[in-house]
Amino acid sequence: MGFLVLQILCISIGADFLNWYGTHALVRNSTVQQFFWNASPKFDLLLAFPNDQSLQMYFYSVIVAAVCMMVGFWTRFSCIYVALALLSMHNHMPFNINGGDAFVRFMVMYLCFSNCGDCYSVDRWLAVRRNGGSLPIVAKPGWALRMIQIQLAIVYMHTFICKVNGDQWWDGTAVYFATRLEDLMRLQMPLYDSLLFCKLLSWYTLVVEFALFTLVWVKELRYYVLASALILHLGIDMAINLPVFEWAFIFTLVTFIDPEDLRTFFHLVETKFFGVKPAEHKSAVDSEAPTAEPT
Amino acid sequence: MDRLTLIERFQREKFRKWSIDSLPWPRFKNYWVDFAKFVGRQYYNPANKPVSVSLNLRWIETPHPSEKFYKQNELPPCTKFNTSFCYQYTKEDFQ
Repeated sequence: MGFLVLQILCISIGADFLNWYGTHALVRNSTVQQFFWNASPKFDLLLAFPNDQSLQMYFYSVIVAAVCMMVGFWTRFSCIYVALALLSMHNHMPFNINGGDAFVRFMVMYLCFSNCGDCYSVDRWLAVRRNGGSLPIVAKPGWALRMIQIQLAIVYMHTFICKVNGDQWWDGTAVYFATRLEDLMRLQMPLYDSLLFCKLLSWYTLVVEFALFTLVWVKELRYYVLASALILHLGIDMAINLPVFEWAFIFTLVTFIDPEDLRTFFHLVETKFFGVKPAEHKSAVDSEAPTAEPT
Repeated sequence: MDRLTLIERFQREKFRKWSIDSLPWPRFKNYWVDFAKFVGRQYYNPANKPVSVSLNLRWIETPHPSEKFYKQNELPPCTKFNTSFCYQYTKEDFQ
């Protein structure tokens, strides 16, 4: 998620930061406050900076925090810093964000409450060094992860309900129209010139989105649903130019993967690419051990 | 956007969001003056001062494929034209 935030900050906003959020931005914040905030207070840290120089420095600090979040350094603090920055930027200039930006903002807020820096992170590497080279990974409550899963399911449920209330998804022309939006097109593919293919994709989207808030909770079917979702999001990303949108959902789907399967995958990666011998992999996670033998 | 390269489209998506999804539509009319002044400042030249700016929308409705099917690279030209707003600059706008 830190990587996606970096992409938003450095590429999508980048050198245009002051055009969007500066004191002489393309829409003055006083106008936003009057007509969008309707003169009610909203959280906006950018109001604390009186000039463009200080705003620019704050922007650089958010980039640093996003890098820390990505590598897992001071993870919880950097997540909070980035979450508050995203919230401030979205309130300050609400007209350049799409659903993907809003989704990333939600996910970063949930990450503030998670233990995302406890395993594959700089924080853990430093903790292991401080502990003399070994530190068991302790299982911790996963309620933040569960919140992310539930949020994701709600998103898919909402989008499914919105889709089935229109005609275009039922008659299969939705993908046809979406792939004819010139300003949003990314890669043109001959398959999109087939109406049958467009119809099949439209119905496939409905089925997968329905499964993503229903069947995904069934363990035996979960990985099939996740694989279908991955295909859906990658396909949309190829056809439609929404920089962060699809990858935010793809990365969040990882929360549904069983931790043991993830651990097996990372062990495979460590063995194949980093030459770690299988015997050197740490054993399964130690649950928090009782402090005394039961009597 | 169709004249931009893939990389440029990726970088400028936020401008697309603002200038196509938001700016031209009547419910954003409260922000037109601010945006017009911003454009004026961006292109200000003391020897050739901006006089006015207008935001024009060129568009076309894609018909249902059962009426007329268009391939992706054979879309009809945007022949419909709307002027969303027109703004005349004053001296104070560039101070």
